[in-house]
Amino acid sequence: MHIWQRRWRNFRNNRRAFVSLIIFSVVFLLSLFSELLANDKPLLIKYKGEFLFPFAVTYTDRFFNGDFDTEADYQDMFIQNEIADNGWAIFTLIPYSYNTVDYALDKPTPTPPSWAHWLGTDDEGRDILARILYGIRLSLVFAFLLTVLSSIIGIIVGAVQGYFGGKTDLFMQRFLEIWDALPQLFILIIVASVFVPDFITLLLIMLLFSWSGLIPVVRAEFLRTRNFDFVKAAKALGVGNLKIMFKHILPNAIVATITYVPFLLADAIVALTALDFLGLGLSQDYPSLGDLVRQGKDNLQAPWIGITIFVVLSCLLTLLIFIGEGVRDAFNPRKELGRG
Amino acid sequence: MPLIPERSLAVDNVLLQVKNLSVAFGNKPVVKNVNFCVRQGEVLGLVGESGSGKSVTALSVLKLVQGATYDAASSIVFDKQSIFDLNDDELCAIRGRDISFIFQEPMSSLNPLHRVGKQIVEILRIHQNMSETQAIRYAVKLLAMTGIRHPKEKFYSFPHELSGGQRQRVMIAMAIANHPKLLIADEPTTALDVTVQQQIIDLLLKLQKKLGMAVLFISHDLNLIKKIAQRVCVMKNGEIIEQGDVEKVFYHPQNPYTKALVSSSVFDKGNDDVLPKGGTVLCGKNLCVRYPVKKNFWGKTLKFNHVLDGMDIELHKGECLGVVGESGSGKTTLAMSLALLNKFSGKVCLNGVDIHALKNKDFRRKLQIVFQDPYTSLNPRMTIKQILEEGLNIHFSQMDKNEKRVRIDAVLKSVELDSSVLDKYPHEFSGGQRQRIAIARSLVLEPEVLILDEPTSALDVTTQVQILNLLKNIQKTRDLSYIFISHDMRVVRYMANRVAVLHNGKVVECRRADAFFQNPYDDYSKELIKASLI
Repeated sequence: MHIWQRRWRNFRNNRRAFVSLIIFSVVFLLSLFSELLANDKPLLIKYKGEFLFPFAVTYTDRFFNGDFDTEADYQDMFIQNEIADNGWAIFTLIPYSYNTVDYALDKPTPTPPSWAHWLGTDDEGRDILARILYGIRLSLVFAFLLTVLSSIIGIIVGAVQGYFGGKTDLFMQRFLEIWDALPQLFILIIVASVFVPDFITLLLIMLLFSWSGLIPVVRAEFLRTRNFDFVKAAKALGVGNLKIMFKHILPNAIVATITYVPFLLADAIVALTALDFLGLGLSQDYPSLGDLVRQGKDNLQAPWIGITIFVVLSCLLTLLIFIGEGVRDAFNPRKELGRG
Repeated sequence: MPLIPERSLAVDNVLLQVKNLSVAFGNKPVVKNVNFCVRQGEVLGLVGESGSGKSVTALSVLKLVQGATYDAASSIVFDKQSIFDLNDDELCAIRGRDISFIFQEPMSSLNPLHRVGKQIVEILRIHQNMSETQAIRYAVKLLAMTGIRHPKEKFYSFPHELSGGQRQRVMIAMAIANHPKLLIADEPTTALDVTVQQQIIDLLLKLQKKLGMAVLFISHDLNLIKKIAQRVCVMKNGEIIEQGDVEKVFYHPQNPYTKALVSSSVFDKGNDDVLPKGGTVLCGKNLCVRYPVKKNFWGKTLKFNHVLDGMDIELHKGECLGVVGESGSGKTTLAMSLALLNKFSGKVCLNGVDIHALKNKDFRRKLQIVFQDPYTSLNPRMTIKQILEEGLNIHFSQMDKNEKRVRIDAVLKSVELDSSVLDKYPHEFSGGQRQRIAIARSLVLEPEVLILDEPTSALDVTTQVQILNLLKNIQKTRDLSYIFISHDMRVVRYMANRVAVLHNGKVVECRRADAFFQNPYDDYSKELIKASLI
């Protein structure tokens, strides 16, 4: 049996990790299709005998006999009546997007959960469920990108350090110690005072501090593996350094690396949430989970905000930790086949 | 008053009786229905290849095997007590008092954080009602009995400050501290150099006679068992396939496996091939490799450890040059330097050209190396096909697929494997097969010089012979020159045309093999030959 098959079987035998992976995948898939689940534009309109797809195509107000050349506001009673008179519209399950302010609310915001807003609204009258759905996507995509990018950099740098060793290793290690000693939070505060970062800039800034995370692991694996006989044999065959590093050593070092990835993901989510909570992260336009945490703190009289975001965050992180534990155990070579 | 009262030798008294012993890990049986007994005062040898269940059998005597399940029919009776009926406390009382152990690797059996004397004292105080001062005095006496020089000073040493032989002596002191009735020695000399091996065996036998204890001696080395044991059990795949007196088993073996084992263990024949008269293929002049041992505050090295200390070596075309020496004598470092795998000073010439003047690619193609351990020398993540093709892709990139395939098939044939192995991974093969694959990987480039760094010492005896004969055949058909490195004098005598003896980083003797084995000049060579070829 191939080694990956055995690992997959080991992972599946760990019930908790496997169920966590399924739930996590479903949540992530759903959040990827947030536009189809929570949107203030209808999915499908039949208007004067024509099928329209407003969530993908922009129709103007004038198109629906309105006065403006801007995009139609489907929450507007005028447009809704116009469509109802000339056909029908199918709205998404949650008829609000993350930034849709519900002007039809009859109570001061934040409003408690109701049939219109299942988890209530935040202090600007936006639907919390929609914001959470989009927020999960934002957090996960951010975390995935951050993890992948820092893993790539970490693996390359760690590989170079571990493989060449000696002076290369010595100097890079000293540099890393200095770099890791830079206070991340202060630098972010300075950056946030100059401009409000958007998704890409925040990703790059966070990458500056997270790329060194995997280096110790990869470096240690390379230091260990570079002395193995099969590496010497490859050298004796005349195989080049680059090829030895990535064809001979990396496949043997990747296990230790993969084991860390779920935990890096969890860390990245926490980091982004914390920055947004402090107001140092993404601007208010983004549906971030950290922003909801902040709202929960600011609106203690509206406990549904705080409770909701608490449950969401703790579930998400717990799932990732469970998956991480499962991966770690599945990759453990000492683990016997088929024990949970 | 004698230190330990002598016991009378009662030859026919059965001390340990093992009946129908079956041990399994999970569903995997490791020991199957084993029966044997140890009589008082005798040495019983337990031989078998690695994985034959020797150690598990021995450890089972004291239920020391973790995670094992014992078959219900198993019975072990020691000194009229059934081991399986004893509770943990009673077992602990027997362990170390009536039965003691010596293991292969003394470094891992000693606690690195305690002085060795203290570890002996601990054992004495657990099993015998001694005061601290009594125990210390007794422990020093024990150390003296094991022939350690300056026992009082060594008492306060840490394990890492002692040599391998000294550590094993400490282990022996601990083992005999409580005057056990049975001593179980699990490959006690395998990790030691040949000359030290001899001393430890002598010591064990001396103490065994003096104390009248029985010894269960486990080893893969048939010659050793033949020398020291009265009776022997031969194990294979968890079963005892033959047992009896040493003379009977070794000189009139009944079982075909024993026959093969006995015949393969005797490399009594030297290499009688004609000494080839070719020119020099590879020569190393004034090779030096040194590592810093001590540095001063500014990083300047004050003391070096010279692994190679001005070594000169020469390999003639078509010959097999045996390189022998104990561990630490620089054998492997020499191999690595000649193959340009570590840094050294000095000059190495291939066919008269300095290898630093050659292109790396040209040099690599002509000189290949085979490593000791076939379990680590093949990348576990590559198929055999990828492993064999890798060299071709670098040095013969102009070849098309079919040409490469023809070359690979031919090489596989010469190492006696068929092409069905190509899509498999290394872990699917046994040690011997892996070593064949490693040899094939080197041969595929059609080199002129092959450096063999202990190519058979990780293999079982029966496999050893096959690989050695294979290497001989390949040398003849392909006109190769070998540098054959080994610590095993018998293997070298079997293979080599010329022999070079290394000691402390220098060549102390380098001569024709037949002359060398008959009449070594150097004192060190004499000692080596005496210790290993009896």
